[in-house]
Amino acid sequence: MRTDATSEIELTLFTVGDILCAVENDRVREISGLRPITKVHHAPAHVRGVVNLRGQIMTIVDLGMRLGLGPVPEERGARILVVRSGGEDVGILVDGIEDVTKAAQSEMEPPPSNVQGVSGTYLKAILKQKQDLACVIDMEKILRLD
Amino acid sequence: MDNDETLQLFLEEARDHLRDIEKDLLSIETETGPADVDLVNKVFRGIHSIKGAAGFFGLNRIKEISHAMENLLNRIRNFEIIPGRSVTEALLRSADTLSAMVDDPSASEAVDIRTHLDSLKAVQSPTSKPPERVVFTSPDGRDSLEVGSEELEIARRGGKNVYLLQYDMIEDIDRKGKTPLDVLRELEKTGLIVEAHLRRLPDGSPVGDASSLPFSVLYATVLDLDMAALLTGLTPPAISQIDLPQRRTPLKAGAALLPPAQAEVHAQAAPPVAAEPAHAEDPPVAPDPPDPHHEQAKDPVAADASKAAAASLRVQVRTLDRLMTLAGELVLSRNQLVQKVARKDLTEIQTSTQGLSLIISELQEAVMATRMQPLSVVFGKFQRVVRDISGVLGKEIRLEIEGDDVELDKAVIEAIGDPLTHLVRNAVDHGIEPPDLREKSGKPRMATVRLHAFHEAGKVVIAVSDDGRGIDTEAVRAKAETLGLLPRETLAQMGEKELVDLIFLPGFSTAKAITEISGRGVGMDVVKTNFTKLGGIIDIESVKGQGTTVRVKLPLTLAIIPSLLVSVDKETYAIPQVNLVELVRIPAREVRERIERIGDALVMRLRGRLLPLTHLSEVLGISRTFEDPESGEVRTDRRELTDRRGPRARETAEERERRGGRDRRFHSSSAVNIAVLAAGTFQYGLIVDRLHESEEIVVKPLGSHFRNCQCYAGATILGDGRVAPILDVMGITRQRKLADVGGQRERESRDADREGRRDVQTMLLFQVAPEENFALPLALVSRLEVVDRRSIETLGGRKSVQYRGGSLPLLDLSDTASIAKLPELDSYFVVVHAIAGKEIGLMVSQIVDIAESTSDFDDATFRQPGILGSSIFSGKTTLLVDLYELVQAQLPGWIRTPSKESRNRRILVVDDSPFYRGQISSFLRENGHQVKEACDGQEAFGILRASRDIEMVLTDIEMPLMNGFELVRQIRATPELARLPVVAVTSLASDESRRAGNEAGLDGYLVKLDRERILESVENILQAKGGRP
Repeated sequence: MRTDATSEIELTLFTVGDILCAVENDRVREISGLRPITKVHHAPAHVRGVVNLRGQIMTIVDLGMRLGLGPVPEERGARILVVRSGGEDVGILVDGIEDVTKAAQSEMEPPPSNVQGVSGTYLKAILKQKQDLACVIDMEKILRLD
Repeated sequence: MDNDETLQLFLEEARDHLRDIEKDLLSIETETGPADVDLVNKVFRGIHSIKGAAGFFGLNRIKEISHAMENLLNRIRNFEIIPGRSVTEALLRSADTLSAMVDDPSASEAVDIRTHLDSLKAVQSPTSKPPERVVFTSPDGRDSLEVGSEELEIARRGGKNVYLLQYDMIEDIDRKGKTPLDVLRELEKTGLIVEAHLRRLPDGSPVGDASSLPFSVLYATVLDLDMAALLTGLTPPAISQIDLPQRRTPLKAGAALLPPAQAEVHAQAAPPVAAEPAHAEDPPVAPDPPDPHHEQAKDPVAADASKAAAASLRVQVRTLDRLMTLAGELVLSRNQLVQKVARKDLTEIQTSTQGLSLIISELQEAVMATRMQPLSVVFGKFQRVVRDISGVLGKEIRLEIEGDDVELDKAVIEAIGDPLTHLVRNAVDHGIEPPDLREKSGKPRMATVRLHAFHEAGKVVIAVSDDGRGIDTEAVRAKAETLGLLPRETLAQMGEKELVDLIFLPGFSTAKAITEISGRGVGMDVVKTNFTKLGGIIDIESVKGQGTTVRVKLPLTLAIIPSLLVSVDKETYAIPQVNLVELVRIPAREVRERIERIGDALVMRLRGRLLPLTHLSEVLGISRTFEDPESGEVRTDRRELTDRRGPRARETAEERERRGGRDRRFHSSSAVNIAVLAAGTFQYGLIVDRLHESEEIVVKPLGSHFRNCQCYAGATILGDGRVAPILDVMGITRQRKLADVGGQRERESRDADREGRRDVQTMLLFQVAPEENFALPLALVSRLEVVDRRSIETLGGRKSVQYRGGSLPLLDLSDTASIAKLPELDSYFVVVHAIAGKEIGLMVSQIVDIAESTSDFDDATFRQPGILGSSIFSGKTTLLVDLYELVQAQLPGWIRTPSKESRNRRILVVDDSPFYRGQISSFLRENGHQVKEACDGQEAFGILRASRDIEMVLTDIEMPLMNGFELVRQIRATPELARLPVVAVTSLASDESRRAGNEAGLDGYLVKLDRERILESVENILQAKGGRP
């Protein structure tokens, strides 16, 4: 758990709307293609519904809705990041996967209060690499039940 | 920002802090050497902020526990304490409790946190001890017993009471010729041994001299103190009840003791009972004393009811072999399929797919079979429970067990043990009278408690019945009034059954005084809750003075359930079949008259009662859409089923009608589909767009994001791989706040239903000519045929049709009865009956329906040759056909008259329905018998005792006061009547009721209105019994 200024972490880069986001690879169990989502009424607005992941019923959180960017359209490129949360798998719906990168701790900067309309609440850090700026998503906060 | 919002913010933040704490604490624990300061700091800060804010909100318990945690963390941070296992253990446990308190802050003040405070403090002292042990000290202070709090928690599941038993090895065990092992085994039959302990001196040798040797047992059981004392043979203070505050149950702090038990209970991490050298770091759990009895207490048998049962399961090798075979088949089929797919041979692929689906369903069955356990697992212990309890109560009770080979899913089996024990115990303790009292009321001294399990319609029914005093409904009524559970007027209107059901009310069953007069009642609400959780339905039936039967209907399994698929919009939902009562489709033209609005509630008229309605789209909060029949567009449906905006809306609806009947309510596609659902005893209608097929579905849980959605019970995966939520029928009632509407009318109709249950006769409804409806008991119908007019032959004035190599005579009701003539049709429906050992057919033009007759028949108004009488079906007067008369009129000589010597018998006909009683009596009289009539079992029994010349009894089963089963039991119990032939004449002829009838001593079972069979068996039975008495 200890963080070290020189150690490198692997991150997956993906897009939500026009925004480049990142998540630590050790948080992601798998990346799945889009599958039919069943809407579940009365669920919180950012919870898109449920899918069948190999016989298991998995909740889908719409990251676009969570970040206040509007719903992620169910299009070909859309992907589901499967993350583990409190004993269950939850799928994070994103617009598309971009890349996988390695980043040193020094490339991480604390998040400002607001990045292109995204509230800093859900950001862990800002990853600055070459010319790219990516928002490192705080999955715990995204998955928080409210 | 108001205080409420601030509180919410705090709670949310607290949850955030707590979410990571477990992971963080565990990583702190795995550190070797000094703690990772950053991590400890993080945890410390989290707890610290919780503490601060909790004080602000006056949440003192939360403050206290976080304060204690903070102290400990601070010392870890300062390297004063090395965070070993025991330290993190204490922190983790406290964090768990803290989370629970944060989740329910209003109850947090009542949570007992002393255990945690003590253990948090204890790990800081150099002589630290595993904190999770709870120590019990006996009332006399002679002995103490320690036990893991987790074990204790498990033992107390299902509402068990915990007792500290103190045996004296010499006095209570040795002198009674028992061994401690015997004692423990006995205890295990009725409960769970949490801990057993022979008091020892620090050197390990047992305490005591030759005259006394204390042996203590911590024992969890559903028995109450009196009963446990009787069972164990110990008297207080040797037996003392221990009351521990339940998790998250509001209980005054410090109220840990229950009188009369004086047991001093205190959770402590104080010096160990057997002094041990203290370990500075990570002390091991106190070693078990090397006591063989102690080992016995941990025997798998004892643990069976707790953890071990969930972990492993005994499966028959045969079942495993079958699984193996099927797995092999599966692999083979897959290989074949792969090959065939490669060859792109569609027909071959189809064959393989069929084979595969067969194997899969067999596999599914086999896998489910591994989870199935016989009820004997549960029933087995009851012989002993009943024997022991009745022994100490001085009652003579025989326990009859039947159907203990019936199998249920292990999850169900595990869960029903406690509530069933409760029911059996109630029967023995409160239901059965003392033998002397029984004798006085003319009952055998030996009482019977019966446990009976059987399959019924895909479910398992467990009935616990006793022949005890029954429930005194008047006393129940009085008590309910005293307790203020229901208003007096409501109580005054309640029928017997409703009053009996009152004992399931939570407030009622805790009223202990009632048990003596009611004969049942302690903890029935808990029992009901436990069964309901399993998807079970509990029903109680009681006749004062004759006994009580509690029937529990349970699903075979909880994992796979039959369900109905419905849809609204394009979304599919599953409704568990358990909750489904019936499906109703209201044609468009009837919508307006059958669905209406009362106050805020939408209701439907269904067979004279009002059913609250709700639309699935309203439940789900979606706007309804419809497909425009012309453009095919999907639009929002603004149509209302009724005019819910008052007169103005009604006007517009009428205007729309005037605009040329374009209102879609009159469109054929506007029929309304309603699934009538039962949430417990409450029923309501759920309107859906479409009803689909029934399907067996696998129940899967929904994720925690949906925890606030009341209307789902889970989700399932459909054939196409998509997910469909499962509707929670109970949750919908809560969410939509559905309630009984027109309660009075409902009750009346329920009463009518109950009346009906006495005499439900399933009828085939048909028409000879349009507009005239006729009925025949379905039990008399062999089958229905369609006959082409050209194949009907007329010979000698009689019609017949070639059929299965013979000739089937055809009758026309309009030839005998003066009714509208049978019209000329291309083909007729023929209702085929067997009469006099041969078949005849009744020609009709139209089969209308199959309906249950709940009302009585009128045998005067429409009586004429061929017509027995009339009744009302779906609002229409319907004539009941007298088949026997019809055959005699149209086929004279077809039915042979019974031989002369069999006539002139004296027969008692018992039926509460004047119509059926009259029917049976009249044809018996026509055949030369002498008939006496009685309208219930009690009257019949009176007649039998008064006039000794009755030769045979024909009785209905469902009757008020004394039913047919009871009547025959009474007859069999009376020596001079014991050999009297008794035949049931009934409309209920399920296998179960037949079996019950046989057990009660019935000589036969006949269907009402089957005149021929009735006459035949009267003859046969009386002949078999020989000459006249």
